Amino acid sequence: MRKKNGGEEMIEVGEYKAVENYYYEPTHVWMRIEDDGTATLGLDDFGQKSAGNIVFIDVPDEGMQLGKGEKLATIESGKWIGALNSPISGEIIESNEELWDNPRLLNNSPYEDGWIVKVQPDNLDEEKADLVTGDAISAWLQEDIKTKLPGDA
Amino acid sequence: MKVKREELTGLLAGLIEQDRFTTDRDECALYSRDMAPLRSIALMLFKTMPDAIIKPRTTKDVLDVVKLAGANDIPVTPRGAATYGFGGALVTKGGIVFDTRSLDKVHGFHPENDTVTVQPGITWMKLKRYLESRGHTLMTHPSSAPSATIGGWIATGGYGYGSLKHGHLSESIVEMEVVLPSGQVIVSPTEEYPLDMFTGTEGIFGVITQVKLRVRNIPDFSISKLYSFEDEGTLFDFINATISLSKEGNITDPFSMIFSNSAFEELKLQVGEGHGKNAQVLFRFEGEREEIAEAIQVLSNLIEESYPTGHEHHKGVLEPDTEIEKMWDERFFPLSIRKLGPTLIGQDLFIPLDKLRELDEFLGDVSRRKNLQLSYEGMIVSPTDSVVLIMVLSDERKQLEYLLSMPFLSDLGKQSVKLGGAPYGLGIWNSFYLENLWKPERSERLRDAKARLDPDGLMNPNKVFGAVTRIGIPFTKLIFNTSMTMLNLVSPLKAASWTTNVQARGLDDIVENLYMCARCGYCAAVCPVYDELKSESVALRGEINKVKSALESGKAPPTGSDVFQCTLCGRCKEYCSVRLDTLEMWSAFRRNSHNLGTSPPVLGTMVDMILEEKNPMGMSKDSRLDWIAFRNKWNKRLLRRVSEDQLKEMRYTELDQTGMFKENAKTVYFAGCSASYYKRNSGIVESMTRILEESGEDFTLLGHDEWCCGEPFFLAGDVGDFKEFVAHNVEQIRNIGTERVVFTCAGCYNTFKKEYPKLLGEDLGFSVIHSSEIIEELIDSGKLQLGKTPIDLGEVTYHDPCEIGRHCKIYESPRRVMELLGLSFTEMEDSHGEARCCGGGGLMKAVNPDLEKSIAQKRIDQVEATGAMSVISGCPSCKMTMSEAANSRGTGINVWDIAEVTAYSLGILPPEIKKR
Repeated sequence: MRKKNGGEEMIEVGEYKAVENYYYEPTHVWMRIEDDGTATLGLDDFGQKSAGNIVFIDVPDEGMQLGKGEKLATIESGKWIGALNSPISGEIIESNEELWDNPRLLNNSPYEDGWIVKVQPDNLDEEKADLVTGDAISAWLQEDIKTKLPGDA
Repeated sequence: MKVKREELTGLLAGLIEQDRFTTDRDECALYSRDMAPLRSIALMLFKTMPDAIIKPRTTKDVLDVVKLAGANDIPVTPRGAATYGFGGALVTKGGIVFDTRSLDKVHGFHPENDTVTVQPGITWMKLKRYLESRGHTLMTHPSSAPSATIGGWIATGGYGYGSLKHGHLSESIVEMEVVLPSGQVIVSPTEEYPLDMFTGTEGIFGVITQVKLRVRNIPDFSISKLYSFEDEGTLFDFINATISLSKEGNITDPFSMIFSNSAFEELKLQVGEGHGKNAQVLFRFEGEREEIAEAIQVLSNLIEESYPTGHEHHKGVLEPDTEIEKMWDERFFPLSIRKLGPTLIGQDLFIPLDKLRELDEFLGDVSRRKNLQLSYEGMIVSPTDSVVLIMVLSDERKQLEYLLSMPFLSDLGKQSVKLGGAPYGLGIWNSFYLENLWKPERSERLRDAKARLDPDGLMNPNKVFGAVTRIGIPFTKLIFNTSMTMLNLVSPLKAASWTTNVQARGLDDIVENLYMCARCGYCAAVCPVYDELKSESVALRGEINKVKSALESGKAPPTGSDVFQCTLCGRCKEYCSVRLDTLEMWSAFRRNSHNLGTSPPVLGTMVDMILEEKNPMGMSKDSRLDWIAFRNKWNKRLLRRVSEDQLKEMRYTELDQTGMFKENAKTVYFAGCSASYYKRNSGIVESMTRILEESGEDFTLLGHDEWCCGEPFFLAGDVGDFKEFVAHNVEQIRNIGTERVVFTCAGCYNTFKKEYPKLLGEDLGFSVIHSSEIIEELIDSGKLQLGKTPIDLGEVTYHDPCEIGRHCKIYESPRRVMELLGLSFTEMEDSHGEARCCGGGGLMKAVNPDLEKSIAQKRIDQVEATGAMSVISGCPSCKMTMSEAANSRGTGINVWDIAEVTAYSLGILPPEIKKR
């Protein structure tokens, strides 16, 4: 099912929403490519719902070098700790410091106020090739819904 | 009953909320008995299985269901904690049971006119604690106060501690709201509905829904005194002489007098309790200091005059004060001698004071003739009467022995009448003593009233005025005795099922304990899970009854989530009237569940993660020390919030891990998984490390060689894997040649202290110490210098973690540290051994997170009630659980660890104050 949300085209699979033109990696980190060539990363709706009430995130520092598939951040909810991985390599040019005090933004506004970092990518065109986007999102989400029960992400 | 069970479910669903009733057969079965061990006889004579249990919250809930019952001819039985042994709360014709324990709210406390208005299901103990935290206390309270409910005691005995000074309970009742069988709500007393219609009448006239009680100020002075005697005759002479003095106004009335024979005291000694093996009387005085001092002087003179030196054999002794106050505090636990049974058969009797000597002689005679060991404990309840509990130890699994001792109970009833007394209550089993217990005027008047107000006999049928058995024959003494004989002939030997039930092998060690349970329900009354779910099956009494029924019928005992719905907070252990190791019982249930492979699947996942990564979070074992880099980053951020003036006072430097790891050290700091892996807890591990550095302690952390302490295995009943982790950690620590190990985690500490030596079968070779204890020691020895940059945390309170508090009795060290740090401290209503669990223990977080959260909310309510903005604890798990509860409600309450507040106060760590 598709819906308009602001300027973005939204896909809904069951109770989970995803932005159609964003890119997704297996730990449910989304990536939005900005007009200036930088990328913004966050946790998608499936990821935040699976985690439950997020009470803490170890926000990575500005200036930190990320590797594709390597640890971006850890989030904590209840008795659970989850590791989020970076979809691309690059340098963090801005961190969402607001998340230290208000980690619930990850739950309440996963695609907007809950963004985690902005990145200057090293090799975006090549690295985005194996990420999930557009028409592939529905099938990918459905697969994850089948295999991952909430709280298990 | 006009409706079928299934229809009843539908009718109730349309009437009250889903969680306010159950028609589940297993749950209903738990209500088919009371405290007395007469279950099989009751079962033979009556339909003891209820069709539905109602757990009302309001008068309206009661009213709606009573109307429904009336319209459909459904019998109704009101029930409190069922600690009355005469069958008053037993179901006799099926139907509906009101479990009134869910009506447990205080509706209004009025100190200006010394009254309190409550729902009837609150326990006497809870109400006592509520009042005492507000400068007042109860006039009287029953001997089973920890579980007995307000309504339950009103409907049954009404004589207890304090009756001697303040009279029968009915004298403290201002008024009561009652739902009558007709569906009318009335307030008693009026001419038509006098108080005596509802006091001691076992609920046959209606369901009490609200009570207004007279209360009093906490007395200026109170003291307990024990006098012991070499024979019972002398004891009773002394008691009667004292009562005469009190009647004549020569001494102030004692609040209470409790006496016991030497046989009872000998049994108490065998279970490691009591005070000497002589017949004795414990006096409790409450009131004016001078009056009490005079009374004690008069009693001392009486002893000296009546039994002068030279007649040593008959001399009364004023026992020394040490331990005597403790005996008064222990007054709710006479049943601990059940451990020697495991069954205890008891009978409460009214006996006039001047006949106590004769009763004692009668009992001595029976003991010799029947070769029974009879013991008793009694209470002086008025200037003329006493209530005596006569006990005989038995074993209900040995039917023959057990049943042969039963007819003795009816002999006792008969004897009490001969002595001018009566059994202390009617119920079913004593209903033939009505004329001895009530005056003819009362009997006649209330019999007429019953016929008028409950013409169909639906309200607690078969009680007080005589019973009719399920086959239509009136219940008489003859029927009672005949049925016992029949049971003797036809009952299978229950004990046999135990030896053949392989599904219960894991429970072999605790079989005796299951039979020692007195069914007093103290465990349920203090259980945080029961408090949330109000379900008889969740607390230990229910669990024990389920396990026993399953095993006696050769079925598998309950396992799975049933035995994991417990935080192992141990409050039931503090309260168990038989002093059973309730924690060991829960552990045994869990081991059995693990062995049968029926534990909740989430625990299997957890076990796998610990085996793989050595921590229960499933985080990579290589990331155990990630907290060090994280803290440096985090502190930089916090420092940005510190003002320049504050910064000047601080001595903060980045953590340098080179000093943290040594091959040999005097002290090891076992950081624990929870503070090492959860970033939100990492302030605890950093604080403790900095405190040890700051004090110049020769210490090391175990680093990557530290594995999970293994407690999650233990809690999951997985002994095999637990052993492996115990062996690993002990070997690592021994290699360091350490003298002692410090813990910031209450769970790790408790596991090392209690379970490690048990499992290893040997001494650890090093001591264990909790962070609060070592901080206290370091401050006292001057190694940790205070008074540098005390930070203002405002008013604080302290949460006792179950695993260092109740389990290991560490209560004072953390409080002393807070005092040394100069914090402004207020105690919560429930603290020390009474502290409520945070909800996160016993794997509850993993098995039932919703329940964990609702239990945590109750604890945060108590924090809020103190007015404190910070709560301090000594356990990272408690910190997490309470933080989540506090944050989810937006209370703005900070939750700290004792190590963190110490580090902040010393100025070696930037404080982590919540942004409001």
